[in-house]
Amino acid sequence: MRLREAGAAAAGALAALIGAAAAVGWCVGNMAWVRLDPALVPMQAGSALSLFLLGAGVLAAAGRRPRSAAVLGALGAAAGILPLPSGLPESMRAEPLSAVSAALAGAALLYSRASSRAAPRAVACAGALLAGFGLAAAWCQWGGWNAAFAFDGILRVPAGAAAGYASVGLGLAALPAPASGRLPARETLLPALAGLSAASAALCLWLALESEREARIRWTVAGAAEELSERLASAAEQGALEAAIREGKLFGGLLPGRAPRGYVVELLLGGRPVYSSAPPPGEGAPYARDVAVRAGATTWSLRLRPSAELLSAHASFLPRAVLGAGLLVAALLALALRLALLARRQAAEIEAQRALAQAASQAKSRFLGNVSRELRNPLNVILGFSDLLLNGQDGALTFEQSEDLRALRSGGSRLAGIAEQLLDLARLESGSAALERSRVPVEGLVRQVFSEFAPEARRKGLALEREGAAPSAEVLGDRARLRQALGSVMSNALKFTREGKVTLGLHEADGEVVILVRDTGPGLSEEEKRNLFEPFWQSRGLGGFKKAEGLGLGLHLAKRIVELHGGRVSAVGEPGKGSAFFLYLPKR
Amino acid sequence: MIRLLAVDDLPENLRLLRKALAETEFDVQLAACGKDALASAASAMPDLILLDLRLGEEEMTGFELARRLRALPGGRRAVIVALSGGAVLEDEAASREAGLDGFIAKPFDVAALPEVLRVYAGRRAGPAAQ
Repeated sequence: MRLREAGAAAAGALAALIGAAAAVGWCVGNMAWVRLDPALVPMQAGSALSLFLLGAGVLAAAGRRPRSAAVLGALGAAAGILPLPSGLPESMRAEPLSAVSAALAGAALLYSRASSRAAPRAVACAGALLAGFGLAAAWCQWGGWNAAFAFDGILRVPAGAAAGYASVGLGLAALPAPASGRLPARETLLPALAGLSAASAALCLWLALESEREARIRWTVAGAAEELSERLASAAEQGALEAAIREGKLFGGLLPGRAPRGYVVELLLGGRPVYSSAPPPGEGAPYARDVAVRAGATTWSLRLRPSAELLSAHASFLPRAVLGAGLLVAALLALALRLALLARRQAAEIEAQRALAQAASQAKSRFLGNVSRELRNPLNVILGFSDLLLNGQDGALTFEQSEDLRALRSGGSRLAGIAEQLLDLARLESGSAALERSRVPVEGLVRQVFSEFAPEARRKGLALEREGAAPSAEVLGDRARLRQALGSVMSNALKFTREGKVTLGLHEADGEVVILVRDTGPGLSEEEKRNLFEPFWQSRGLGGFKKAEGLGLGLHLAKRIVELHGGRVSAVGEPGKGSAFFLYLPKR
Repeated sequence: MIRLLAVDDLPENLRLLRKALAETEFDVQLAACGKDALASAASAMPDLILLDLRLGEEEMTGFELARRLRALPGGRRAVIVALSGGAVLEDEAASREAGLDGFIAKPFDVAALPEVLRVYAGRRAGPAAQ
């Protein structure tokens, strides 16, 4: 999105610069004290002004200022349409197609303000149309194909105007849908100023080059005129001039020497032309030079003007190339500056967000630490004093006192267990518990858990068996946490199985390691299978006994731990047929 | 006789520690804040110091107190053990880094406490342990 905005801005800037340059050139070319050839100006004044306004409008639209864009668009369209009537001088009159283009661009800019969903697409279509037309017209102009068109007069658009409208069209086509949020003024003003400065520099350079060329032509003509006038004066003193004029042939007869090449020579006597070497004044008239030729009592006026041939010899592509390149550089400079400012702002925003996230994370850790302390200190006091009293620290207890204290102690233990599990869960979920990432040999882990739970199984009269092996399998993760997870599942199996056996199995599969705990307990109902791993869910107990120990978090913690390692858990079983719990972990 | 200094800002915890170590070879001194602890250690440096890490945020933290205790004469010989109710793993690592000699998590087993402390006291073996 950003790139489109920047592209639209660049195209708009280019159009505006072309228009501005043309407008300046038009003004300068029509001022008396700088006599520039008006043919240099690539378009009519009205087109120049309208291009400038339309380009600025596209720039404003890309800078997310829809109101300014609309106003500039309206003004630009007006500037393009108003000079349409044919009563105006050639340099001010608008070509019909220029007027249509200006109107189309202005309408598109006005419509871009609309918030309907079709608006951006319509604007883009108008832009594409304009761009296509402009590029085609410019290509035709430079390729000299205009004459081939039957509709020559109507379709003609000066090349500069065509390029300008093409630029406006591209800008419109690139405009993204209006986004909310204005950009800071600095981000649009600085690049605009930079672009304008560069463009002004290019304009000055162009003017300098053109003036230099002009001066050179005039100097050449002046030199030739002086030289010719001397020759004619000496011829006039000898009386050869009148004879040559009467014969109608100035050079190559009575007068020595040849006609100066590339010039049109005119002689006037008393303001009346008496001799002319070429058709009436046409090209080169602005560069004509008058010199007086005196011979005795008569004074002729010699007028020398450069022919088209001489003028084209002095013609140079350089000034226009410089102007074009300068304008392009200005637009690119503005674009680069804009992108740089944007990037800097985005970097600052990202940094601010990162700092915010870090502060939040630190606050969470601090909170957990505080909660943990606030729970554990009182628990310490409750359990500690219960134990002290039960141990007879404060003297012998009666049976009743002893039983009461046991109840107290039991409640305290349960509370301590719940607090531990809750804190554990909170730490896991908040990410405050950093999981280690080390290589855990699964076989060793399973063996360790097996030996840990063997005594308890023995105590309950259950058989504890091993099944399967995965001697070289490794998992990437936190060994302590994995032991905790597997331990929870094992503890659960031993708790609910009254008789029979519990099997701890380990298998390898495709990229996975499967640990399973199978028991010959009461099995699982549908409801249990659904809710087993949910937090705080407690089984009502099948087989007629109710076991409400614990908080119902052990299996949920196990599931979270396995999931944080990239694995999953599942449980299967039918009521009365025992159950099996599976832990799937990705192999390293 | 092993001289032990217990520092905790909760009076119930101090009472618990005193009673848990009654009729053992530990001679228990209590301090309810960092200032009292420093004063007591300055006059007679104990062999073993039990230090709650959460000692009031208004004054110094447990780690800061440990550092100051070590700076006192004879401080390097003392065994300093941290008692913590906070997030266990982080506190354990932090106390190791702060140069404390041991770490006990709350809630602790009252009956086993004297034995655990005996082991810690034995770490800086010497005439003081007798």
